[in-house]
Amino acid sequence: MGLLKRRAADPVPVAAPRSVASLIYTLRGAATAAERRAAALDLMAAPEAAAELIAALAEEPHVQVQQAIVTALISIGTSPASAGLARLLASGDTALRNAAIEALQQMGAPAAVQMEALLAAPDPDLRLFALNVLSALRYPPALAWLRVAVNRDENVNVGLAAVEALAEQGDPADAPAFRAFAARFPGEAFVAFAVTLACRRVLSDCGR
Amino acid sequence: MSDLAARGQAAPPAADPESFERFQELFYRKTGIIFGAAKRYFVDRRLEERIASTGTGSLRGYLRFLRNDDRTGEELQRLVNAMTVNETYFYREEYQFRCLVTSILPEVVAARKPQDPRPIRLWSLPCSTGEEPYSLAIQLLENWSAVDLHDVEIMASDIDTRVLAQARAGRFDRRSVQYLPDRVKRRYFSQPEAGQWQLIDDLRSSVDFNTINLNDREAMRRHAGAFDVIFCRNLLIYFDDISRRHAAEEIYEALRPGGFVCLGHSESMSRISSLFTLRRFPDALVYQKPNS
Repeated sequence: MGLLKRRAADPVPVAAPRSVASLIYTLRGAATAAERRAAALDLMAAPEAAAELIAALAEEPHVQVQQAIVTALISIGTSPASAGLARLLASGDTALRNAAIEALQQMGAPAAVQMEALLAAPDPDLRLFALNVLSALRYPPALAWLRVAVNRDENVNVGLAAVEALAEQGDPADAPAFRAFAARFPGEAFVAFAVTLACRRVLSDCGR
Repeated sequence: MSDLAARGQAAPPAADPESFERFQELFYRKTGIIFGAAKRYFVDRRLEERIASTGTGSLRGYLRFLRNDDRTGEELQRLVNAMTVNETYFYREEYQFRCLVTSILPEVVAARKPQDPRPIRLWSLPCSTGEEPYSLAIQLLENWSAVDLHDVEIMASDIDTRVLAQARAGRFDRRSVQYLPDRVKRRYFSQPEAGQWQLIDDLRSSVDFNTINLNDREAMRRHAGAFDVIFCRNLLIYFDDISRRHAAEEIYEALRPGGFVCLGHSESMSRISSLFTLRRFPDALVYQKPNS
C-alpha cells in the first residue's frame, strides 16, 4: 500500500478509429450514456454527421450526452449544423431549446446568419431566442439587425431584448432609437427604466 | 546568441500579418492555445529563435518547413516546447492539496467498493517541471493518514517534452522549493550544490510522467474513466471558448464516475460547461463528475 512506483508503459489499448456510420449507429442506439457520449465526441471530426447529431440531440434524454452532442456541433460549426440547431429553437422542450441556444451562442457567423432569418419569425418567442443568441455572439454585422428590431418590432419583450443587446454593443448614436422605442410603449414603466439604463450605457462608454 | 547571429547573418525579418495569422491557426489547431495581441512580443521572440535554428529565414519559410519537411514532428514539438509557459513551484495554491487529503480523498475512498483492486489514481495535467505532481506525493505522505491503506498512482503529463525531462530528473532551484517547510525539504531532498535541491529517488519514482496533448482526442481516449482526481490548473486560461469546452469534455471522460477536477483559482468550470457539479469544501471549490 502507499504510493505506487512508476510504470513502464500505459497498459490501456488504443481503440481503432471507427467509421462515421458506426459512430452514428452507436450514438442513436447504444445502451449506455458513456458509449453515446464517446460516439458524439468522435463525430466532431465528421461535418457530414451534423444532421444525425441534431436528430440525436432532439431525442437524447441524458444531459451529459446532450452536452457532448452540443460540443460536437459547435466544433463542426457549419451552416447545416447551425440551421439544424436553429430549428430546435421551436421545440417545446426547454432543456433542448437551451442546449440549442448554448451551442448557437458559440458558433460565430454561421449561427448569426440563421438568427437574422429568425428575427423575422411570426412567433415572438423565436425572435427572443434569436436575440439571446445574437447578444452572446457579438457579430459586428448583427448590429444593423438589432437596430431594426429596436425600431420596428411590435412585441415589447422582443424590443426590450434588442435594446439590451444593442446597449452592450452599440454606440452613442443609438440613444435616440432607444428613446423612440420607449415612446412607442408609453404605458410600460419597465420600458422607461430599461431605456434609461441603455442610454446611460452607450453614452458613458464614449465618455459622454 | 542565436545560430543566425553567430553566423553573422541579420535577424529574421518581422512576421508579415498573413504568415502570423497562419502560424496562429496552426498552433491553435495543434494545441488549442490562442495567443492574443498581448502575447505578441513573447511569441515573436520565440518564433525568431525557431526560424534561426532551422535556418528557414522567415516565418513564411518556417511554416513551409513545418508543412513539408518536418515528417517526424520533431520541429513541431520544439515549437510547442518554446511556446508553452512553465511557471510553477512546490505547494502552489496549497489549499487545494489540503482539500485533497481532508475532503476529496476521504470521499473517493468512501465511494469505492470493498476489495476494489484498482489503485486510486491522480493525474497532474499539465505537470510542467514536476512541482505539482511531486507536491501531490509529498502531501499524501505527509498529511493523509490513510496513505498506507490504499494503493495510489500518480500520473503527470505535459505537452512539452523538455519540461518532462526536467521533471523526471527531479532537480529544482531555490525558487521552486521556497514554500516547502524545511522539515519537508530535509526529508525528501538532498542538496548536491548550493541553491540546488535533488528529490530523493523513492519519491521521484512514484510519479509516472508522459507526454500528452489535452487537445488530442485519440491520445486522451486511452485514459477514459481512469482517474479519481485530476489537477488541471492554469491551463484553460490559455484556451479559447471551444478549446475549453473540448478540454472539459476530455477531463470528464478521463474521470471515473464521482471523480474530481481541481482548476486554478482564476478558472471556473461553470463558465465552460455544465457537465460537472460544483462542490464547496472547507479548503477549496472543486468540480465533480456526477455518479450516474
